[in-house]
Amino acid sequence: MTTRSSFEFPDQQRAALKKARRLEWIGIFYLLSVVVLMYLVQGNSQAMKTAWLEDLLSLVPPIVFLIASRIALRPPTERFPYGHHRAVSIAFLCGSLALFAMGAWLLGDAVVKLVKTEHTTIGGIHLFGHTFWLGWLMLPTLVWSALPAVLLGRLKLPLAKKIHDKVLFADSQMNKADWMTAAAAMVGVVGVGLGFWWADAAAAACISFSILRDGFTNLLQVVKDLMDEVPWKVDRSGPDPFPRRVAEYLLSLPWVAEAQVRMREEGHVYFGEAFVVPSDENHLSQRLERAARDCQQLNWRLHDFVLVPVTSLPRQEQPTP
Amino acid sequence: MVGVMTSARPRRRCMLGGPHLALAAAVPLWFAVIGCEMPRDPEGTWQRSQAEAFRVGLSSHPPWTDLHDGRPTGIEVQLVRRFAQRIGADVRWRPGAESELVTLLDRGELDLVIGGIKHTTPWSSHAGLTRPYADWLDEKPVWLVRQGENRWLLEIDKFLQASRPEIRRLLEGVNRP
Repeated sequence: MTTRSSFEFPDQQRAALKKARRLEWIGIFYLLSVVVLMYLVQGNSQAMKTAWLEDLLSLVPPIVFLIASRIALRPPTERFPYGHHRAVSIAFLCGSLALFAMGAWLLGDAVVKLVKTEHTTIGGIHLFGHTFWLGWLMLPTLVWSALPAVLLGRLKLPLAKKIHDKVLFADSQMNKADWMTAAAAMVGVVGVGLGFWWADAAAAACISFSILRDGFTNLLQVVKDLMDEVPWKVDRSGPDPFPRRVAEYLLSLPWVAEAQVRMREEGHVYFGEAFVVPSDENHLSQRLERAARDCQQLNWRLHDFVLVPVTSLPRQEQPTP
Repeated sequence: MVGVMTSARPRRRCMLGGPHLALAAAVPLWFAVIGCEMPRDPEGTWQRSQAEAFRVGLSSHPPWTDLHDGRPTGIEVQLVRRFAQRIGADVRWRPGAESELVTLLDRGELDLVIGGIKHTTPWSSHAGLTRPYADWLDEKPVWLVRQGENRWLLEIDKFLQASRPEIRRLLEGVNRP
């Protein structure tokens, strides 16, 4: 017996999705302004270059989210009978791989500069009839690259939890951590201003390390998703207790002797099946139908659920060592 | 009863009192003091130049730079002399080929390299570039300074920017190829 809900999201979640999409659009335009400004003032500073690339890369999650959240909502077709939910994971895989590779490359770049004791040259700029140090323009630009980002990240976080979207969650986490990038780059610029040649490359190394770490955690996450790991909470604080709740519900039915549930995540939603050993086979089809429907009522995330009657449960999974 | 009500209300602590206020005042003050000195040179080129002399490498490239009987001449040479005069420093000249001079600059044995160098110079990864001082020309000539000597670079940039009318005059006086 199988049921599948016709829409990805209930009304409440759909409103959250709409809001999230709007925030991501605002985020993209804001990031574009940051990327242009940072490019104009980056000079020869490695820290500025690294922060600039990080800002450029942080365009990826919003774009992935906007594209994937559209594709994922497409209904199943004959060729894709399970729907298009995995689009989110695939897009996220590409994004985190880019982040990871770029972080590694930038870290190497910064370390080479430190080892070669390369002195960062930040010269003058002529604006409004005055010649002054370019570093003075870098500092306010870095402030602009951080403060609105932190605010956006804070606004996105509750929405990510609501629609159970890992891309949006990762995006909001990166936005929230943006002030650290900016602070590190500012320390680098001021350090160069005070005559410490290594300050710039050291700051760049810190920033690229944070890019590398972001890429790695996201990569790990999405690989686990694609490997059909059991559902986890969006904030990764632990496994989602929902499959257990479904099993408990099935066991509470008077006609069920034994039950076993397994679930996996595809994008925003859960797919899964349950094996039940009936103790009473009267009206079995109707009972299975009802039980499957009731299970889906427990949580909107349970999208595609199959109940299979068996004479004995299949072999239990080995616990993870 | 008004008095009772006010006394009953807990007094709100001022967010900008005590240590907060001190910090809020100290940070901009610190920046203002440090800021005047920023940027500083890691190797102290600007201070040394002011106190004694700076070393200029020049590769012959008329009309920007040239050698007449071993004596440096040319538009850029005149500009360097004027700059030295302004900061009260002596100039020590070192003629040579561009690549050789850039190596010396990189090693810290020169402070400045001139010779009609274009702003698209391949040396930009081995030297700091001034802003193009005559940006109305196609070649947009620049000078090279030792990497990381940001105060030194900024002072030269300021001088070149302020000398623009003079540079124009000097350029009118020569026939450029």
